[in-house]
Amino acid sequence: MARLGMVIDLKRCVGCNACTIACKQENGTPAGVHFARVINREVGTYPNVKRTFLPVLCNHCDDAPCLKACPTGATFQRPDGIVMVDDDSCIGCRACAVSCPYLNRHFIDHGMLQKGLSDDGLTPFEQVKFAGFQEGTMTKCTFCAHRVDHGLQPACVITCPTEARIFGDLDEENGILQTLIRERNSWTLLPEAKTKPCVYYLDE
Amino acid sequence: MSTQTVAIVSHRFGYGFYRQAWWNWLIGSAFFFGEIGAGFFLVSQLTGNFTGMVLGYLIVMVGKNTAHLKFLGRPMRFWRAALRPDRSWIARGIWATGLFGVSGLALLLKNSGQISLSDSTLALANTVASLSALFIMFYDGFVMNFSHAVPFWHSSLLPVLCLTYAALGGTTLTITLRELQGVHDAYGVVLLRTEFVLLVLNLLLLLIYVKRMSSSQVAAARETVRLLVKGPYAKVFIGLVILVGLVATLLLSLAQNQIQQNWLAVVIATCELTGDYAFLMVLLKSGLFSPQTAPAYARG
Amino acid sequence: MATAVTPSVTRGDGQWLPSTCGMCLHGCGIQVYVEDGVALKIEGDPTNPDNLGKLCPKGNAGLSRLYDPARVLKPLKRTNPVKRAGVDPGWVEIEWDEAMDIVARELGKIRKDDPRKLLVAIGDFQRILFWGWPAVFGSPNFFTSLGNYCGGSYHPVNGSVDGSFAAINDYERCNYWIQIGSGDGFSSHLHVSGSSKRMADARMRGMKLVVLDPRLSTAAAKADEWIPIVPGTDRAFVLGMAHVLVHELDRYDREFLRQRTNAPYLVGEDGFFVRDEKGRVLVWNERENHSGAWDEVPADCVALLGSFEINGKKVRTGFQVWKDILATHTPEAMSQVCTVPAEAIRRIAREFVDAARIGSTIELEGKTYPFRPAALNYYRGSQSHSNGLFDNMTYKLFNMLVGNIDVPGGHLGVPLDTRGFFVSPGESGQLKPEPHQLHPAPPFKYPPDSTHLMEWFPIGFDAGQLNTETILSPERFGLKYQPEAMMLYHSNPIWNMPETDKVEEIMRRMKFVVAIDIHLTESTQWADIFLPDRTYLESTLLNCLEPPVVTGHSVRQPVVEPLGDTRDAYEILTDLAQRMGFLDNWNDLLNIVCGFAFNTRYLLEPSKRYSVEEIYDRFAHSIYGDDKGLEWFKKQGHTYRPRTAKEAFEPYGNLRIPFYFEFIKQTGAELEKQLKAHGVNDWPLENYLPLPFWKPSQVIEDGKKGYDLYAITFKDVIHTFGDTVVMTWLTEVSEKDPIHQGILINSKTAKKLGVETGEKIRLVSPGGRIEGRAQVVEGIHPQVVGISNSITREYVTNDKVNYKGSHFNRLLTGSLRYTDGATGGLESTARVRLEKVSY
Ligand SMILES: Nc1nc2c(c(=O)[nH]1)N[C@H]1C(S)=C(S)[C@@H](COP(=O)(O)OP(=O)(O)OC[C@H]3O[C@@H](n4cnc5c(=O)[nH]c(N)nc54)[C@H](O)[C@@H]3O)O[C@H]1N2
Ligand SMILES: Nc1nc2c(c(=O)[nH]1)N[C@H]1C(S)=C(S)[C@@H](COP(=O)(O)OP(=O)(O)OC[C@H]3O[C@@H](n4cnc5c(=O)[nH]c(N)nc54)[C@H](O)[C@@H]3O)O[C@H]1N2
Ligand code: SF4
Ligand code: SF4
Ligand code: SF4
Ligand code: SF4
Ligand code: SF4
Ligand SMILES: [Mo]
Repeated sequence: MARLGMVIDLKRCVGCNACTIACKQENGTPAGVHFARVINREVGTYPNVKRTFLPVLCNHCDDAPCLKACPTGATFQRPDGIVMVDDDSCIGCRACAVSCPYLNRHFIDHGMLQKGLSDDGLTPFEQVKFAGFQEGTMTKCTFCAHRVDHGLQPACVITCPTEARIFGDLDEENGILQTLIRERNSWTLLPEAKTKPCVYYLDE
Repeated sequence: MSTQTVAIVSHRFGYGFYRQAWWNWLIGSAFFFGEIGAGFFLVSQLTGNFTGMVLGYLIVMVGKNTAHLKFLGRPMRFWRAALRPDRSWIARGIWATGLFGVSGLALLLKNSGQISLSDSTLALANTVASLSALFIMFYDGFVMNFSHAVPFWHSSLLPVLCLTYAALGGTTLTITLRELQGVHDAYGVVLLRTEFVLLVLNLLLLLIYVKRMSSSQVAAARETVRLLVKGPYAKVFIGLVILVGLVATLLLSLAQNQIQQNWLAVVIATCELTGDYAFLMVLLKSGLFSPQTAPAYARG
Repeated sequence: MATAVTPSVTRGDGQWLPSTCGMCLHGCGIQVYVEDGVALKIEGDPTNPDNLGKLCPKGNAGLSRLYDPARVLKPLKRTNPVKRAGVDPGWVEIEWDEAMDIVARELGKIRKDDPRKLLVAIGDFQRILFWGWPAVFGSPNFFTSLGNYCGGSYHPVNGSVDGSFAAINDYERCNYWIQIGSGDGFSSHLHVSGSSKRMADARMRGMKLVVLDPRLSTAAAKADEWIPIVPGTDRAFVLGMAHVLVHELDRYDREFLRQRTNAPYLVGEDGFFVRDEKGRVLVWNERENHSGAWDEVPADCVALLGSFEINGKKVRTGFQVWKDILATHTPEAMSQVCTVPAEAIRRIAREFVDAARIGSTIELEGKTYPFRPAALNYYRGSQSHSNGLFDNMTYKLFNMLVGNIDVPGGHLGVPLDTRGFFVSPGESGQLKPEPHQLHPAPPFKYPPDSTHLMEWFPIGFDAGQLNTETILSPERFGLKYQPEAMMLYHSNPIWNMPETDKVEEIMRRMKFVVAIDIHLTESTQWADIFLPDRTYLESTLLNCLEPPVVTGHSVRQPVVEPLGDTRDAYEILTDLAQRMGFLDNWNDLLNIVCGFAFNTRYLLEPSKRYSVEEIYDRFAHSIYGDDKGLEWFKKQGHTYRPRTAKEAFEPYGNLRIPFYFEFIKQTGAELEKQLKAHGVNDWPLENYLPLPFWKPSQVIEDGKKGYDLYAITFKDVIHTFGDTVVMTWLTEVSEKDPIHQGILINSKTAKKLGVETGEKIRLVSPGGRIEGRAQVVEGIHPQVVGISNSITREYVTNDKVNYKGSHFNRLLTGSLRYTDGATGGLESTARVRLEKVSY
């Protein structure tokens, strides 16, 4: 069984948020919910100043605190490592949200599925997409499991204009992911949280 | 690179600390009711005060549970929360609450003569009720401290603090109840001493907690301390939690030792419970997530 | 296990339809997934070699444009006769027939009276084939600053140098890329979806990127080096570098200049070339020390440099003339102007010429080309200034110094579409300059026909911003009529033009305004009739617009049943033509612009009404033959393929490209005669010069009047102009980025002025004033304030948009004084002073 993961090459990334919006349309998330985001930051002082772009999504942690915190088992991990929420079992206690150090849990609060682009009524697109969510439950990035299961790459990956996002099998010792992780200066987010993220970053 | 101060951001696209906002006042209230209710029940049980047991039981079973259910996105499925006691403190808490509900009810019915229990059953009910009450008094500390994500909560002192606060609350409520009932027995002095010890202990633990967090390796924990001590929550934390909830109560209970007045007992209880509630609320509100950035830029 | 673990249904039994993105003008390849008549996903078309399956954020947000609840889906009629900014027009829905009747009647009256009285604002680049509608109506007037705000000076110079429309550096081979005032490869300009990957690949292989921008743009953020610069002074920086190459290092591509350009052509003291009696331009024979016709002196004897005497008259080579000009443009002097340290100017010039590998060659597709892997790329920011002609010339000349024009590794022209470069022989072995890429230069006319005086811009673009000056003071320019009606079509002139209050004044004067749009905007709020167009996901066309590395066409097709009661803009225009009785002229025009005139099989009959599908079916067949019609495109999507080396490199062949832009001087002299003959003596002719140099612009002058800061505007990858700010999907992301949160101001400047983030401030320029919130940042030049397009909208229909109404263009002045007299390019920078707003 593969261990799915992602490498994000920060040298390539231009902070465009195409991933953010691609995820938005793929998953049809309600207003304000973004499984993919780009953390935008200005570092330094003029004229020695940089802007850094850090695209983030669920790390599908090997040692996922969200999973351990979930009292119902609604959060589960597939054998390929994808961490998902079964929203039929979720009670909306938000323990997972409090436990994810990466802010990658999203709560579908009451009323959110009634409001789309407009406050009164949903667009045909939203009618289809919102039907996949349940109010009062937690949702999150699925690594596009529905695509992956069809042999497709995640939506944020295929759209990335700079090909900064590389998706694949972390178990392949000489696969593209491990090679990049080995050969470039690589790291994961908040290692001190000991979550064993499966999204790796390559230095700028 | 300069040393730019890290801000608290209001959305997840920003770089900076991010406020814990998922657990709100309903969770704070549930924790509060759980702690003081179970504490009340336990202390009343130990001092043989039936009314206190009833009140403590109701605070837990009605107060805590209502707040929890109101908070849940899907309250009808609440029972699912009990499914993973092997890994979740919430699940364990549910089990404890369940056990407390059954054993406590048995005790109350027995005490009020509604049912009769065999000695062994009664002993079992007593033990289970005490232990589950005890569990309810501190498990919320584990629920919070389980989260590494909010570094300020991630301290082994937190469950201890919850326990001592619960014990304090329970003791205070019991004393007050007894004062109002006009009960005067051998427990009176013990309770007052316990109260005094707990107040001092709580104050010490709280100071140690904050002191420890202020020199934490993790910036988010230090930032929370700043929020509590100098920032927007300083009024609540120093004013309500420390001064009203602990220092004032400490002084008042010294006076109470001398004069033993009904009204004073009520004042002390009000101060103490206010401090307790404020502590839980401020704990939830000031929780921060760490900023995420590349190691190269970690230091601004 | 629950079924609803994923909210996505994008892989059901629906189908994928190929099409073309229309979220910006460029048109990347897309495919749209449609199920049960609902469009559920847009992805990049992976078979399209232009964007390679990728989409920028705007392209990804297309469904929220299609399904935008604020779209207008039925024709609207105004009921409130009072027209003023902020006044509710009192729209009521009406039927198409009634709407078209009214428009045809009102415009028909104008047409009968004087068709020039119609002002037209067209911004629909993908339907560029229909831009001639105003012309067949009879009006020359373009009431928009559209391409002039960006390409006013750019396109004419590109067209003159190599018959191209735009330009880009060679992503694949360039090793040293200087980028000035442009988002190419990062955030804007050509097909950003695809170019972002090409740029990333280049950076990964070690290409060095130096970015000049007053602001820490995305390009600057990702560059090896960001050089903050004072707006409008980029030319000084580049002139300084040219000085270094020519005067200090003495390093430049002599052979390229000598053989591929007119740099060795001899120039007399009058500034014109010296010609023999047969009209051939002379060059100097170094070996034999005398002059000769350009085609008679052996190539290896032609002098590139030098001052000589012919018949007692002093002559210099064109190159010598520029060298002499450059003598005073030392890095020190230029540094004073642009604030970039002289040492940086020197170092970058040296790195550039080192990287250019002058003399090296490369073999591609069996042919040997010069290899010059260093190039300077630039766009709107660096040359949309009132001396934009000189800006553009400078950048081209600097590239020419290393011989990199249209050679591998270098600075490559990009044709407007599949027709490729406009290359034909001109005078004396030179390439014929094609400054006009969109329409032929209109002949001089006095009194002028057009409100934007296009007859007085023989080499320039359409100077839309001059509408305000001419219409409000017609006597000054001899304009003999007053416009009375306006057609808005995919354009928001109140947003896009400078000096907004004057634009509004003109709108106010209009007796009738019709808008063809999908949304209500600042401009359409002045309309009497609103005709709802279809979005790009509901309409039909074949597109090819400035694709930087590919050639071909891609289809746009309706992927869903069009929403509501809308009509394709082509159908609207054609119906109007028919109703007003000029369908035949309209078809005639289409025959020409669509190329049917050259393939009579597909010629349109004059009086027949064709559907949009028929037009593009013929268009496809006429280019791609019998087997490729619209239906073929609807299935296959596109015919894009990478341009071959032969198509991309050295399009000028043996023709010399201009180094010394003599034709500009000639054109100016010619224009001067004509203007003088009609008593126009105050027309700005001073920019009709053959070579660029530094001279301060009006904006620099304004600085002396207490306007101590510069204000600039910019585009970012997530928005198209201010238009897409109404799209919640985009805005809910962009509004979280500090660069889109307010008026950007450097922290030191803010401190000096006592301004903090979030504080309300006012900017006052010689042209106007705006208010907004300050956003204090590090990444901007201390003398500059920056205003993202995303905070500039003043009227939007989406109340979820937290727009800020700091409309940058209110700061600009649309007058001649802020216009490049030669190209019509406008000044897009304003001098401002900052005031705190107290309550
Ligand atoms: N995402 C996106 N892409 C687009 C468009 C869009 O709206 N959005 N519009 C399309 C159109 S029509 C055009 S014209 C192109 C324009 O494409 P660009 O020319 O790339 O766009 P701008 O952002 O207008 O200008 C580029 C940069 O110039 C900087 N700048 C401003 N003034 C100066 C100056 O005086 N000197 C220097 N060196 N820099 C300066 C700005 O900060 C900005 O970063 O993009 C096209 N593509
Ligand atoms: N402040 C500031 N001003 C600028 C610029 C800037 O960067 N900053 N950029 C300048 C430049 S380079 C340019 S090219 C111009 C561009 O300025 P515009 O030409 O005004 O921009 P567009 O986005 O082409 O046109 C906007 C209008 O098109 C409508 N529209 C969108 N899609 C459709 C459609 O499918 N059909 C129809 N009929 N209408 C549609 C929108 O609703 C909107 O009303 O602005 C110039 N002005
Ligand atoms: S789409 Fe790619 S380049 Fe753009 S922000 Fe996301 S990761 Fe970066
Ligand atoms: S990133 Fe957060 S949500 Fe994702 S697996 Fe890790 S802890 Fe869970
Ligand atoms: S909100 Fe749902 S997924 Fe999260 S911990 Fe609670 S039950 Fe589990
Ligand atoms: S993997 Fe899929 S769900 Fe996750 S961020 Fe990317 S597009 Fe969104
Ligand atoms: S660059 Fe323009 S055409 Fe291409 S995907 Fe983005 S918006 Fe669409
Ligand atoms: Mo433009």
